[in-house]
Amino acid sequence: MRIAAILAMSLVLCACGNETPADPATTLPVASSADAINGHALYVQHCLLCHQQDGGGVPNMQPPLLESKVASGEAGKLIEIVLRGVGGQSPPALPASGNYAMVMPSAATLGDQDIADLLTYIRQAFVQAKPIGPDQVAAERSKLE
Amino acid sequence: MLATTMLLALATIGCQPAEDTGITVPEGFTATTVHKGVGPARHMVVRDNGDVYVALRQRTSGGGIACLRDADKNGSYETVEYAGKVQGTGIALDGDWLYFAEDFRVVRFALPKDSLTPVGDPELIVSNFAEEGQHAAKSIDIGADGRLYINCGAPANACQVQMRTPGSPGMDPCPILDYAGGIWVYDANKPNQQHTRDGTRFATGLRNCVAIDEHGGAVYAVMHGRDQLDSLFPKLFTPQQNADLPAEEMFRLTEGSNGGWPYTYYDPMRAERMLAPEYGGDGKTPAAEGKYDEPIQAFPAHWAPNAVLIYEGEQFPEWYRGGAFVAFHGSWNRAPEMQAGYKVTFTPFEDGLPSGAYEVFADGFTGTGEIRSPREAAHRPMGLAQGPDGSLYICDSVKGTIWRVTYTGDAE
Repeated sequence: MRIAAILAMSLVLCACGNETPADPATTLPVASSADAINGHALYVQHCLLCHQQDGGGVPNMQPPLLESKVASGEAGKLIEIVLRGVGGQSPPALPASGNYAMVMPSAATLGDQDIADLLTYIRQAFVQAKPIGPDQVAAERSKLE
Repeated sequence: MLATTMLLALATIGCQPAEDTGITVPEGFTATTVHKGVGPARHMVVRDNGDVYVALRQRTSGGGIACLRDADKNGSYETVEYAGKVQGTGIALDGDWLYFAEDFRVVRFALPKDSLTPVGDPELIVSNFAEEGQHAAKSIDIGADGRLYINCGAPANACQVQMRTPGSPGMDPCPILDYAGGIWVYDANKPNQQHTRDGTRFATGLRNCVAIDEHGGAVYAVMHGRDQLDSLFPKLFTPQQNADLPAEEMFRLTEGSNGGWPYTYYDPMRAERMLAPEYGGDGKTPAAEGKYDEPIQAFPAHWAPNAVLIYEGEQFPEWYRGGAFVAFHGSWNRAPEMQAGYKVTFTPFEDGLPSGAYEVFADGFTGTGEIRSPREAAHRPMGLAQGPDGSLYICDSVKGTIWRVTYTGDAE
């Protein structure tokens, strides 16, 4: 059921691909399943301010997710970033790259399903990559504990 | 046909088509582009001979200081040299010394009279700043008292126990204030000073004042207010409230001033200092009265004031003399609302304090009107400097474009 819904969302995204880019407010992908709606809502609540509505980030402050190789790359690494956060003084945050001034807080208090929905939304919306499942999040979380 | 006639009419009355600088300035002023782009510009100073020095965030053509000269005095700075194995934000001139602030140290270079570029190795003036990322860029100014003022931005949003984490309370007292979140003052002529051991904390409770200007015995500073009220405290603040709160505060700082960060923020609609939610505030509870400085002017939220300049020249009309120009880099943290700022404002002053509301002085930097993301801005105002003839220089951080604004209207 979930896979079907995500596939449906991918089709919607693909269908939009050849159109002229419109106002960023209208280019947010249409969330069409419970998971996708949840992922989008979590993005708005936790990520949008810094990474921006279009996922483009802010120069020198916060990196883009749009067309990001990190966002489209290995799922484990992406999950680790969300669980640990980046920069700041307190371990176990991942070290900052030095290219962006802002720190990213850990989102480890979110459940496995929420993190999976959130990352699936980001991958579908900004890099057209495979969805991430809660089992993958749980596996990464167990490595950090 | 009519259009042709009109064009001809314009030509015959001797109008020179204004250069399309892309920015607008008030009637009577003219903006000209003196350089299209020197690189990732931060702050800027103009020497008494008209040479311009721009601090670069990243080295360009081997140097972190863009040195510009208009040898033929035609208004276009045709000579640009890059010097200094440094990169950062702050830059200041004091006689034959050029001071430069990297994120974690302040150095100075010898700048002999008539030399366009600094010579020799940099001399270390202050080091040992905390290397903690956020708000690390250092702004500097040499005061009329010959001392070196350094803004040390707080490496935090609101001094939470868990950085930028929803619901996390603020540390009380905030330990960051011992070494950052304020302005420190150092001996400008003493090498190898250590932060904080060899300096004095001039003013505290300042989250990040990239914009500072010592003038008349006080430091005028405009603060980047805190952000994320709604995402950190969603039960207390809406996204719309986050877009409008808190004010970017302008202060007139004297020794011992306290701007109230992280314990408070300033609500521009209520015109009142409020208790921060990390310290028990709920968006409705004012802060304790009399404990903290009041802003001398409150600007809209998130505009990101990155330079302030008290106008000391005589070229501009009386209205502008002694008043404050502020360069606003423009917001990112109003999302999902449209972004704002991206302009240079002017506030008239009397006796060292605002005598009226701020007004927009230079605008049009984004090139496209309203924008949703900072990436859409063609230019972002970053640095301000006054030339020896009283002209106002403005630089931008996207391309390093430099404009010179002169008064060309009727004499008063």
